[in-house]
Amino acid sequence: MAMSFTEAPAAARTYHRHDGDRSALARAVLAALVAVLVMTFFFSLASGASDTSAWQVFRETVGLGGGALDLTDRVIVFEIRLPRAVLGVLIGAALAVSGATMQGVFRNPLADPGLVGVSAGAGLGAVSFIVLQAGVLAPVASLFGIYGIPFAAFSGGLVSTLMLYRISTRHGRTSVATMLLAGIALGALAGAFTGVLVFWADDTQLRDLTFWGLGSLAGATWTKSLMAAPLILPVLIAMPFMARSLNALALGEASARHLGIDVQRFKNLAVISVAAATGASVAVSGGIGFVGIVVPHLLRLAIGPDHRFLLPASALLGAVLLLFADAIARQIVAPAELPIGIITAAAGAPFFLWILLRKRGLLDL
Amino acid sequence: MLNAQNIEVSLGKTRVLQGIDLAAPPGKLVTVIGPNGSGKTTLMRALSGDISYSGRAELNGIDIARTRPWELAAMRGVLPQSSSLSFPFTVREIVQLGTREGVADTGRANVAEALERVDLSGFEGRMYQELSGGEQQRVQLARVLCQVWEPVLDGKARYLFLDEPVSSLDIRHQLQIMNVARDFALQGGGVLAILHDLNLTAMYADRVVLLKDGRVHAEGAPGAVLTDDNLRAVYECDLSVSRVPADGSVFVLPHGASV
Repeated sequence: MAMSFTEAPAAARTYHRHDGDRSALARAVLAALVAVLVMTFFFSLASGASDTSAWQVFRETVGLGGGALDLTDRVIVFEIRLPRAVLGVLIGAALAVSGATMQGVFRNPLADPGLVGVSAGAGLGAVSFIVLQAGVLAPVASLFGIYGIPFAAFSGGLVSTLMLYRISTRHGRTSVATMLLAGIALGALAGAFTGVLVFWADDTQLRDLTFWGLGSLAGATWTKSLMAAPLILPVLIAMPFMARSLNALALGEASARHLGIDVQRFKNLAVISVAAATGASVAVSGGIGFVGIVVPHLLRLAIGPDHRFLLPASALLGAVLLLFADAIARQIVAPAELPIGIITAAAGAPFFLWILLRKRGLLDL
Repeated sequence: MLNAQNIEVSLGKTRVLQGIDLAAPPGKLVTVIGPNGSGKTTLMRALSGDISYSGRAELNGIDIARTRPWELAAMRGVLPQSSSLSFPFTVREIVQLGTREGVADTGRANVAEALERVDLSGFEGRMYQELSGGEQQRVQLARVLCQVWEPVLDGKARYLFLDEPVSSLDIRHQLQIMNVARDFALQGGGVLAILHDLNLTAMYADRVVLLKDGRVHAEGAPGAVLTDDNLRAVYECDLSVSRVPADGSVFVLPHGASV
């Protein structure tokens, strides 16, 4: 946020009641994001090989259609595109919120589930389940049904987040360099185990793994939304309760405790939330990178780091960005489609480098 | 009333505090002094509920070790020695953390007035991370003041725990911040402050606790604690204590001290 006005002499500087208060701006941005999300949502329902206008789809959805869409279009919009858009909203929100939460807990703008091995851990969990569900994990599979993969991904994500935290945090301080390096090592380790499992997998499992690993919203069904929602929605609902603690934590763990936050309990809750949201996303859409780092960073530049606004705004912008990336993924090589992870990485990685260049000092810890 | 008896703290294998007794009654400004490594900050961390200790410490009759963070936060604010901020908050947003996060009842806490007390009026819109060290320290104090805005709440004194509150301030602001602390005590609140400056201690403290090697070496009124013998024994340098002619209070001149 550039302050472009010239500095007035101290004596002439007048006092403004709202100086330094960005909450009005943040509320306006939140409202705008809601509007943008609604528009993007209908735009994504309308776009694709079958030609319908967003306006027609909107009228049809609210029951004013009057038969504007024929049966084929109806099926395409409501059975194929709608579950895909819903899943996109869920995943985008989950990725962005888990990024923002992780950055708050690690007190560090470079923390992101995808970068520090949490997604890789969740991926290992999911792959283990796919390969072993007919064997040693059969009892778990029958117990959890369709929730087996998300739960396995959640467990894998939780283990890697806890390990990462143990390794990189000492006396309440997280070393950025240690965190990133530990993340690389944990990611590589999870990748190695995943490789072994893929090697063991039989042909049917390999097919499942390939579809799953593309990092794509393709093949989105209502079932997939049902698989992801029980893990993602509680995290989104918990956001308002985490915002206070995350704000206090910006002052450091000791000061947060002095302000009345039960830091240890909160960190447990936050780590579980991150693992749940990341695990659910990885379980249904594979690894989609960089949403968790780009979205909160852009929003902090616009509305500041107050998590009361940053978390919901991240959810909204994450959803918008993912729907947008998915639209590009579907259009750019139509009628085929690119895995969405390629789009987010192509846009997100340069952005990440840009943050690094601006904050090189962060690594000198 | 802040009351600690027989506080002992071990960090690793080292015993950092041994048999500390300390009382900080409401309406008084109590300072803890002592050389580097004498255990001042450890004592404050124990009394803030940050580290475990043996012995007994009570704030208004409540056992500090067994109290939830939010209950303690309603009774006392803690100014840390130094703090790092992980994200770019404005000064207003930092001070508001004292009015909003954690504590439900902060009374009439007012950001503008808190900033005025620490001589930072008009700084609301500045980015915290762009301020000087001394300004940051005063913003943090404003935040802590908001947390315990009323020195007395429901008939019970609230406390300010200040760990070297003036360590990076110029002389004018040192005096100003010590005045803020004294005013808090005069209005019925309690203040426990770690200081390095013996003269500020002599000027402002109602009671002084002098620590050496994790034990209380002397305790009492400034005139009784700040003596040639005590200072020589604790700081291991020859300081001569004199008295201000006007009111008989003591001052310490380091001139000519041999180390």
